Amino acid sequence: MTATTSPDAHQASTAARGAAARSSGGAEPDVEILDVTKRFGDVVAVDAMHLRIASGSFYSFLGPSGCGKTTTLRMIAGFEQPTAGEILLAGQPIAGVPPYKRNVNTVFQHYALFPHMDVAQNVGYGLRQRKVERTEEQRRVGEALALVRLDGYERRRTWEMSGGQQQRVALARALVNRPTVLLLDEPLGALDLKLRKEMQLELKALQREVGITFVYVTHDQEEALTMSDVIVVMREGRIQQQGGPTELYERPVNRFVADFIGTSNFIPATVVEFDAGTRVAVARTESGLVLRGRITDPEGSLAAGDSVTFATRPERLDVIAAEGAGDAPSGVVQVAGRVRQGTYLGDQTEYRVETEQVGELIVSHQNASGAEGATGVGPGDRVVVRWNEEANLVLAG
Amino acid sequence: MAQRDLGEYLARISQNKVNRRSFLAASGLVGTSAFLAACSSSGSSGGASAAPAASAAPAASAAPAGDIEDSLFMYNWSEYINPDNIETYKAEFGVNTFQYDIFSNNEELIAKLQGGASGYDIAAPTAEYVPGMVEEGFLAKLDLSRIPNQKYIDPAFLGLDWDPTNEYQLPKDFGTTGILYREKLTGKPVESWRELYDLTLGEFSGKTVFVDSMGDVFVMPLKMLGYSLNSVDKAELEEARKILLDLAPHILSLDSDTYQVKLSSEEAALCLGWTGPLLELRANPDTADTAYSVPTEGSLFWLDTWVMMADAPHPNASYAWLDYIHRPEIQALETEYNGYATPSSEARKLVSQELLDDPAIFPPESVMPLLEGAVDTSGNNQRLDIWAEFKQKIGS
Amino acid sequence: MQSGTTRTGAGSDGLGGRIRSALLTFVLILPAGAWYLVLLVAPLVIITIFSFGVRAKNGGYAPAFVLDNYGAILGDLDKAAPFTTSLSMAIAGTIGCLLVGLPLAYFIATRGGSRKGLFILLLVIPFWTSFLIRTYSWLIVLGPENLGGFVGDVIGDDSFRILGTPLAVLIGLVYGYLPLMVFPLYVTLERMDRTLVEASKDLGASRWATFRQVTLPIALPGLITGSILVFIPMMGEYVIPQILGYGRIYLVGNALVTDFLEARNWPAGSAKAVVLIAVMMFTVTFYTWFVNRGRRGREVSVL
Ligand SMILES: Nc1ncnc2c1ncn2[C@@H]1O[C@H](COP(=O)(O)OP(=O)(O)OP(=O)(O)O)[C@@H](O)[C@H]1O
Ligand SMILES: [Mg+2]
Repeated sequence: MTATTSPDAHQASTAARGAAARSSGGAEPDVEILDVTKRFGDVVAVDAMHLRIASGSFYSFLGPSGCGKTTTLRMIAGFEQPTAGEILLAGQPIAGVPPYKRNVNTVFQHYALFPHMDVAQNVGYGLRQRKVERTEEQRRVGEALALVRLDGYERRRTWEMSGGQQQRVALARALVNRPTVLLLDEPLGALDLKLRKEMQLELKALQREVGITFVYVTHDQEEALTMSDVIVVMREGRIQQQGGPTELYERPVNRFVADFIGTSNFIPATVVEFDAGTRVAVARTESGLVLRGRITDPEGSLAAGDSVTFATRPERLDVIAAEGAGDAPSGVVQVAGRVRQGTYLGDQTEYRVETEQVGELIVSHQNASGAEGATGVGPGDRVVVRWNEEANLVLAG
Repeated sequence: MAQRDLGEYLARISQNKVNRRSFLAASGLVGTSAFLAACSSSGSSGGASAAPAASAAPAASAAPAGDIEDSLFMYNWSEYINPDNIETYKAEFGVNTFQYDIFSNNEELIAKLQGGASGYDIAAPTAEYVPGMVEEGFLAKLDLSRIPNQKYIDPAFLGLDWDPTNEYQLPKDFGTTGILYREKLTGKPVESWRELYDLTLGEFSGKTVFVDSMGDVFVMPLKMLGYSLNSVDKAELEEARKILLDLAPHILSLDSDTYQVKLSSEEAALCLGWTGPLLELRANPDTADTAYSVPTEGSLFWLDTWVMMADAPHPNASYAWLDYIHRPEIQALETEYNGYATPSSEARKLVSQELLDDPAIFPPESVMPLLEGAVDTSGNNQRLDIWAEFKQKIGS
Repeated sequence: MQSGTTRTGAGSDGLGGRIRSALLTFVLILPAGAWYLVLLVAPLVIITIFSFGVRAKNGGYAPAFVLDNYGAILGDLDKAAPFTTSLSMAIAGTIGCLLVGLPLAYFIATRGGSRKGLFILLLVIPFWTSFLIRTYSWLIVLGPENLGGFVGDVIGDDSFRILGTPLAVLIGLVYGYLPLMVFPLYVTLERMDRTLVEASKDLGASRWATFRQVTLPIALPGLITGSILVFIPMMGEYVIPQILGYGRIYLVGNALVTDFLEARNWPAGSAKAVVLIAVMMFTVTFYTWFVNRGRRGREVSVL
């Protein structure tokens, strides 16, 4: 986890719109995916997906390769038909409506620019299909190119352009049609890291500017966190969790999400006691360590004897030299261990601490005060790792 | 036929080109599978004889083999030799490689030789092409003492104008050009070029096939007009041209290879052609009504010959072949196989009576006065122009 | 290749290097150059020389300088008929190959799935047998006992037939040269990025509009290559008109056979060959120019 995607940064940016975007309550949903299942033979690519995408929001589908992100997008675009369930676009069922009659446009991963057309012809393609007048076409193409900062590139051949420029042509080609929804399937996947970061911000700014609903597919959690209003985490065709970046990071509902978004330390334990009112669980690890924490899944419920997993984010942990560490204050968990590895990463240092009670813990220390030795510990040193009970996330299973 | 008469006729008859046997005729064309099989065998033109190598084991015992080479390269019409005879020859003389390349008409043979094709030992041009080939220096003089079996050749076939001194060729097979027709369809015999002309322009428009052979096609108009089939007279040819151009739109096809298919399917009722397919058409009950006539105005007599190339790489194997093929029993097998008349008087004694009595194969005495031999007129520009024009106008 | 070699050589050390690199260039292009010279240029030169000669007495070529051979072709409209017939048959055949080959190649490339190889194989298998056999097989298929007769029965015309008509020749030509059209088309279509088609539909183009505006232009290099590949041999074809056309359709190829193999008039045949080559070069150049006009694309050729 690097500073750019630290949850605090997002808190600010999403807090304002969070409420509207997160629930379907605010604006009219543009896309409704109602209990949609898609099978390819024996493969269930999308499994009973139920989702409403609010108008004007930036939605991301995030998940590992093969989890059904592209398939979902293709069903919205009309290239695949759901095996079961229904998709509504702007409130209208679209089963049987061919792609070219849907007011949805796609930005393809490899751009799919027409090689036999120049930039302006590419961008104007959709308008020509709608028989838009020639002068009007030129005007709107000019506008769209200006929007993606490519004015003056009208007569360029697409293969003479850089990856980022091509990407923007593809974007302009889709946006010029003023679609209700813009679908983007890993549009930055082919760009190098630096350009990708740049384009992420540009895309986000653009989306805010045009106000079109973006449905964005990525398997890069950082990308999703950077841009999205709502992230839908998928695994093997099923939605694991959806919510704003902060929510997903701070309150992952299961081990998969906690692992996929950011890094977590996982500690298995058995429930001793569960308070349904405060939703706080007390549990004991095999080594006898007693931990307390709040269950993240709002629908989840626990009983004594259930096995659970405690997750903690590395940046919530502190590492202190064992000598003179003393006892932990109440409400703070403390385990003793030995530093196995310390990796200096510039803005932070990552320690791997071997503990007897809970196995290896990853601790991330912000180098806020500069020098490496701020914590005064190094490989081989005996240390204690401490964290506030508040940081404990209790995940079922 | 009295030998003397035949000799006179033949002497009078002396040159042209003929597609002797269509390759399809050889292997039972009427059934589809046989038809295709035939195609495929001819498709691999230039392949060596199909014999498995094992059967070519040297059997030097029988032969005064001496220094007979182990290869023979032959350039011939398709399927014009009995394969059994080839096998026997190979075994007897220890000739392991017997290459049989195919030409489809005399012009092709000569064109290839002029184009520089070499390496052939023997070929089988039609007699009227022999003088030209001699002139071009393609042919070797034959040492008749090395071909004792040539004594079986009917003397009537010797000393003809095509090779007055018998130095360059040995007669191989002979026959006529005439009218093949389905009597069932015509309802009556068709015995003259005139009738063929009238029927083609009339009732049987689009049902007449001509062989794709210039020399043979010219026979019809010239003989119909009462001229020599070798005429190169401007005015006579011009008259012939008119007749041919009259005919052209009514001709179903110019076809030397599959005309028998068209006759048997009744797509064609009449055909200016050769007798090759006749035996098989008759053998099939459905097409047993096929008849052949040598038109009353007269027609073409052709003689195919064996020649040896001047640069033959295997002269001894060649002589062995020429002598071998003229053994009467071998000649008889040839005739039984290819359905054309043999010039060997000894062999004729061994050929089945049925074949001997077939006027289409062995022209009867009554027909002989009607026949004329060809000279090589294929260089006459007027004829060539007429021929090209005629070909262009077929069917249109 | 040559320029690259030359430049590095010249850059290194002046004249000596330049000569050495020129030599290297020469050696490198020698095999291809010699091949080109011997197999392409030499025959052209020879037939051009022959075309001004006269027929030798027993056939063949005798040196001379006359224009008669050209006069005989160009002087008389009637004699030019084989050229016009050939041209129209070859054009019709090319269009036929396109009409059959384009959907076929498109189908195999886009819908073939895992059976692409099988489809291509099925297309090729007949061509493992001899050209003659295949053509003769059409005699049976189109014959009066089969398709020809059947169609005749259906339309109630006893005299109807296919064999011996331009249609039969056309069928034979299209069948005979189809793979030469399908392969280049298949290669370009197969290589085409399938998402382009989706992109087009996504942008509001119907199937047909997509085909016209995206698939076809992208397949154009293959289409041009295929057209030329089928057009050129069709111009010289003589077996198919002879067999399926019953000799009733007389093409330049047949005229050439008559000249070279029957009349053994090499000069006359050579003159026709020269004119044929000229007609083909003109047609192909015009065609390429015509389909490429207004196209500023990156030229992707299959050859
Ligand atoms: N046309 C198809 N035929 C059969 N199976 C398919 C097809 N398309 C997708 N699948 C399968 O469906 C599942 C989901 O595929 P999908 O392309 O939606 O994954 P994804 O999440 O986009 O993955 P990636 O990140 O690798 O692009 C995969 O198991 C894939 O193999
Ligand atoms: Mg995908």
